[in-house]
Amino acid sequence: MARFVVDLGNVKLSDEEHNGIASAIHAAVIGHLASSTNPGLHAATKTLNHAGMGFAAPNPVATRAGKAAVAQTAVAKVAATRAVKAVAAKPAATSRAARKSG
Amino acid sequence: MNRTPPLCPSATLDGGVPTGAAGGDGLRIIGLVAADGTVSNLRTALPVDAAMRAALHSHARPEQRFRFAAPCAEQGCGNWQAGDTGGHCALVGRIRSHVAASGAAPAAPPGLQPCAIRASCRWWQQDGPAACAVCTLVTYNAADNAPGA
Repeated sequence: MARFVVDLGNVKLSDEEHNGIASAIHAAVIGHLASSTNPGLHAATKTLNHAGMGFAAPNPVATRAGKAAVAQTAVAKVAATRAVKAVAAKPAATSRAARKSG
Repeated sequence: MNRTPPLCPSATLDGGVPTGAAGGDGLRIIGLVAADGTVSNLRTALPVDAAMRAALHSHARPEQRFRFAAPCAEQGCGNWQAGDTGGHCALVGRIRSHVAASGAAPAAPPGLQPCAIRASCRWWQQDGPAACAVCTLVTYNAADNAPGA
């Protein structure tokens, strides 16, 4: 388990200082994690994206109403599912063909 | 009195107001997408403030590296399905169906994986442990909504 501890001993900190330090640590950690890329991820995601999961698009009515439309498109990626990828291949090709013809 | 909606466990970086901003309601990071494409949950959610969100925007697809949670947008989301009982998120059901249909459902974990938001998670409140069983397989794919995608 990755866990990092900064022991400041008896240093007295105000709430503001404490929160500022915590925020800086979080930002540093997230920055490091974000900068490490995952080359195989996008391809796998795209493959299953075309498997016909039918995720909904944002609701245009709600968007017009000024609500925070969140495009909740999520993709379930099943590790090592060659069968799924094989099924996905045809819809992907069909989708491309449809776009070209459209 | 305002009702605080449950948290969406698959929000976008822009799907919530940063923590600390006016009206901020707790956009946070709850997981990290691992090399195999599954999500490793953080035991403690990391709040995303305005500065951190700006930094994350410098990455092309932060949602494919991190899992974000934010208050459920309910009627403001295309996955919301209204109903007599107040509506529900239809996304988790479709994901469960898809995983089941693929015949590649992961082996049931011996217990629930750690989760920083379970108590207030929309999917947990709807489907319980069955939602958790597929949750780590989910990442947001912004390309789905891009023109021509």
